[in-house]
Amino acid sequence: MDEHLDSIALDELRRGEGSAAAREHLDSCEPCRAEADSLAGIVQALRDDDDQGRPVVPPEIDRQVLEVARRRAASIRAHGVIHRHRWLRPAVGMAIAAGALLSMRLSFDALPSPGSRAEKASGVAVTAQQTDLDGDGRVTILDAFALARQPASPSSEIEDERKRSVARIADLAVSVERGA
Amino acid sequence: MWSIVRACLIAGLVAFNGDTLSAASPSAAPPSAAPEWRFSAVDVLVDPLGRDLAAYQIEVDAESDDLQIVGVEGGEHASFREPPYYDAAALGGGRIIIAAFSTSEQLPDVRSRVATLHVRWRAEAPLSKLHVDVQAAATTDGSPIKIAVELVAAHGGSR
Repeated sequence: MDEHLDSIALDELRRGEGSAAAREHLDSCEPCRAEADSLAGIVQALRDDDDQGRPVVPPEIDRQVLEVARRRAASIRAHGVIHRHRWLRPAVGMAIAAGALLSMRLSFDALPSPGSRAEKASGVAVTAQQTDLDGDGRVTILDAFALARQPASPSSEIEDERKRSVARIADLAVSVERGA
Repeated sequence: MWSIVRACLIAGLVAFNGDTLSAASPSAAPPSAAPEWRFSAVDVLVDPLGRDLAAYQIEVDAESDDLQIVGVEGGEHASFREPPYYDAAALGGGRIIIAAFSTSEQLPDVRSRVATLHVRWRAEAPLSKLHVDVQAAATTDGSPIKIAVELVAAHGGSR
């Protein structure tokens, strides 16, 4: 395995899953180990709740998410397409690994509701960035699947929000107005 | 009103006969009349080529005004028995995107029916008009896989 591991593979290894080849690569690749350590730290930080049981998103993650969003928006404005960059991996990893936790901060509430054409029309630019979790430049069922695959949160509120977000991403993926 | 009654009768015949494409008798229509609308079911079969199928997204396009997709139901495998995601606004038109995923550990790794489309058509049997485009497919870990998709007439119907 010559290519570096993506965030999904790193998260699988963190959970004790993943292929032997991926594990072997991780053991021999310093950059990937650094990313794996970073991911583990993020996940651990997100497990801490405030006094009302709500997840606490560390300020550093907030800052990184905003920075990624700015850079990605700039890239889209400059090139008109969504590119997959290595620097996006920590953010994608955060979004995937933290799953529903981050979804609240990423304002999935801003996603259009199924069937709302006006909202879809006005929200495509925003939702394309927020829902393209695998960074392939499209919103497909694989993005919904990536969010659904994440370990369940002990918080029913967060789990409900995650399920709604999964359904919204899936609805966007199959929209005949927007396409994939 | 009569057309609705007739559509229901045809649908009943379809269910009774189990042969969707021969359910409506062409002889019932006057020879000079426009082709009658008929109802049929088309199975969507996916072969994940030996990999576990965890997610798929497929576009089906009729590219014809003589075919309308009017309903979607789930497949045969337990992991894909629920109807897939689709845009309700697509019903009544000739193009639809269906998609589903499963986080189950029991996933199909051989050719299986993942969905059934109900179509309303006239003039030509539906399978000659439908085109399929695989937009995405993935296995258990979310990594993309290749799949082969085939549309067949449900219950042994012909093209």
